[in-house]
Amino acid sequence: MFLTQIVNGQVSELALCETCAREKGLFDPQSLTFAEKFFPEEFKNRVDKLVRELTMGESAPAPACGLDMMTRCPVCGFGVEDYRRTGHLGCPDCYTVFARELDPTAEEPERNNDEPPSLKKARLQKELKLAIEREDYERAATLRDQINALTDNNA
Amino acid sequence: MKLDSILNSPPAWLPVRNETGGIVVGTIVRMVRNLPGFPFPGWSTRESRAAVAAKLIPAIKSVRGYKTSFSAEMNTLSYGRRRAMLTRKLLTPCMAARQDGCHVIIPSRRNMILMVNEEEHFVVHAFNDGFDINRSLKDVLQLDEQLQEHVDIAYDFQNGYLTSIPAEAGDGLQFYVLLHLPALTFANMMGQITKALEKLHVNVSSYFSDGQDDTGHLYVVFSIPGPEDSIEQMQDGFETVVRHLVTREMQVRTKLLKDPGLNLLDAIARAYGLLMCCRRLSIKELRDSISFLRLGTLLGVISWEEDEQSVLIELYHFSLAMATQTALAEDTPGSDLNTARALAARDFLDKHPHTFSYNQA
Repeated sequence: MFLTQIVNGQVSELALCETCAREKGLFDPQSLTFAEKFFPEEFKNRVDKLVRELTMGESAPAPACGLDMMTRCPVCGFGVEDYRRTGHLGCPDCYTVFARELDPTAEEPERNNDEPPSLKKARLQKELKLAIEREDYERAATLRDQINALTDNNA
Repeated sequence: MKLDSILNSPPAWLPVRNETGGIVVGTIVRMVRNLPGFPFPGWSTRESRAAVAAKLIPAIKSVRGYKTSFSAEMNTLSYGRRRAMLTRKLLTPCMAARQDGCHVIIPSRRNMILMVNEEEHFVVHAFNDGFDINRSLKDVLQLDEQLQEHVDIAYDFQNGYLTSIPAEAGDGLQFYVLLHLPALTFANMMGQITKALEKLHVNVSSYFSDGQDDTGHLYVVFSIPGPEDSIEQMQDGFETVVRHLVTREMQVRTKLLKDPGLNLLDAIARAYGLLMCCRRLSIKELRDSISFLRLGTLLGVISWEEDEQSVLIELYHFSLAMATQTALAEDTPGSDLNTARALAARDFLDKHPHTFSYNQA
């Protein structure tokens, strides 16, 4: 996808592949030509913001999130970063996957604090295996650190 | 049912005189629903949009009263037709930009538009004339109930109906009113009002979403769903805001009429003069002049020999017909609409005998 913006004679040009366009919140690149034709002012603002983001590295601040949150929806592939950047979700299942992100004040899911370390380690290893299977490496790294910490404490 | 016949007919929200003195033109209730297990349209592939449409469209057609609807996939509609539909609120700006796997359906009663794969999987806009949220609300909730007999809808007890924007999850309902606010526009108060309303979770935009801002002095005022508000609270708050806007418009009309500079009467007289004598007329000039003509009628400056109500409705219809013609002309570039528009305006005034009360000025 190619975007050209001219402001006060200064030309900014963007060339984005479909994946990058999606990452920047341009979910529906085919609609951009319509947007430019129908809503020139809004379109200009959108492209302006995009140019600023790409040239200044601006992005939405990432709020602190719970350790147990998945970073990618296994149903639609939408990421938590996509949500932070756009305020949209990918599918109805994202509500469950990103529940902690959507409502950081929500209580942690009830978990038995008296869970024996061996059982906890087994549970975390199972979760790690699932995270690797769905290629959610961010989550996998968090789980790996938790397992290592448990191993160190028991040593 | 053909799109041309829909575009040539008066829209379902065409105004009649009501307790707001014609200031509230019409009401729209928007309802959104999504199917579980499918990506929202903004994150979807062509295949998943087609799968959603394959589930929803037969379900809609199976509801009584929807079998003989007009139905079209967006990629079959030209720019001009989309623009014409936008001017009549038969599409949303978001839907106008959509293509494959996105469908618009208009039932034969024409009191609703149903959109598949707009910003959400299923979006309904129900219209009625004047200021009556409950009437359209009843229509959309009835359709919702009937539709849920055929398809599952994404819902959870914590968030309500799930939407692509989490802040809008809940009842999945939003209210819009179309307002004719010539006096507030004339007094340059719309900017202040828009900012004030934002703080009350109410937004204002120009009726004609084509970048021509306040032309025709028509606005769309709409509620922004808050996560903590119940539908009853949102409706109460919104109705209060709209009534307040109506009161302000009436107050400003009275004040401007008493203005020793006669600015409002001057504007009405200029608009009348333009429509009577013009040889070329832009769409902006036409929209603004018709707006002042309506205002002049409501203020008693212009009196018609025919029934005033039917002339006021005809004025709206004429203005919309001209806007539709302008939009459709995008498909046939090169036509000189300014001259044709001027002729049509003079013709309209010739065909409707009237008196302009100069003495009041």
